Amino acid sequence: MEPGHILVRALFAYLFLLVLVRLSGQRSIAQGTAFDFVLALVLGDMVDDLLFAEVSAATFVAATGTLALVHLLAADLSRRSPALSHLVSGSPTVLLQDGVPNLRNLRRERLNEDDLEALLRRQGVAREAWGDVACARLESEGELSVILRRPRRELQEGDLR
Amino acid sequence: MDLQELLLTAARAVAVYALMLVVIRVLGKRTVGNFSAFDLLVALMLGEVVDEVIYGDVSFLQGTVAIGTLAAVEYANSWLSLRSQAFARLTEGAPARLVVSGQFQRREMGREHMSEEDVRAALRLQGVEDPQEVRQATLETDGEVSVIRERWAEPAQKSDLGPARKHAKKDAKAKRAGGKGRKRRD
Repeated sequence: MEPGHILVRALFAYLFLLVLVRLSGQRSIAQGTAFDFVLALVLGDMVDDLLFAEVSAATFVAATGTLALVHLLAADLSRRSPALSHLVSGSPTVLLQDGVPNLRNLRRERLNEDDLEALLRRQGVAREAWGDVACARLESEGELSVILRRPRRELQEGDLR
Repeated sequence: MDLQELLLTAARAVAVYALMLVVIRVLGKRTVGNFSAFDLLVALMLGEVVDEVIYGDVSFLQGTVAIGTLAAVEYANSWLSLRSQAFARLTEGAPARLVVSGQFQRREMGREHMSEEDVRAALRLQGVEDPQEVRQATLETDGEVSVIRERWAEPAQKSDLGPARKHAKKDAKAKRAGGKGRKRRD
């Protein structure tokens, strides 16, 4: 295989995926859900078959284009229907409320208390400080959001007035 | 490459999309990428298999079996980690304490192949320059460092204003009248 062809195909794949990602309006993979992340991996994996001419450019465009289109369609539909959104990306799960772990929800996410401790630690909340937490939710991105109880939350401008 | 072949490719892409959606929803939020290094690897494996299916290099049935098996093992893994702490330690690893009460934990750091400068860099990424501010810094199972600060090094909280908030207006008036403002407690 001629190196020149590979160069042209690499350029084509790069530009095509760039356009695809910009059209899909995805700002960053990190902000997305686990599914967005895997989809990005898949798109990346589809490139090498094109580079080494295992598939034609038309097939590459059809495959990646369809994936992006379906993803866009799913996002659009779930924007309109909360029920579908719930189905596609899940909903936040409350793991800790008023300092008390929600064991049922933890089990549902297959997390144990050590996992919860680690998740909270990442947000700067020590085990002894669980009582300061009003609500900790596992968001659909897979990250834990922590809302502290009023006395423990950061000082706000309004508190000084 | 005729049109029919392209349509077939598109159809496989749609089918695979639906399959992946189901797999990831079943695996839940904890999987794929943010729990341990191995979760990331599983995501990579899934991704690698999927493109073969879309291009028709393997049949849809073969692809489904491969993806289904990977997903089932990953599910079983997280289920077992939930039941058994020993198993969790084996597959996820355990968090390592790098700094406790401002002191570098050399033995743990050595085990994780981290130098003092590595740890200092990790602390800086969390906005901490002085290790004395750290109550506990932990190397988590996915390789990120979490930092819990000493109480005095945390940002001011509402409770730091003291219980006398009711009298805030009076205080403000007193201040305007030339009185001393309340001193901030440690």
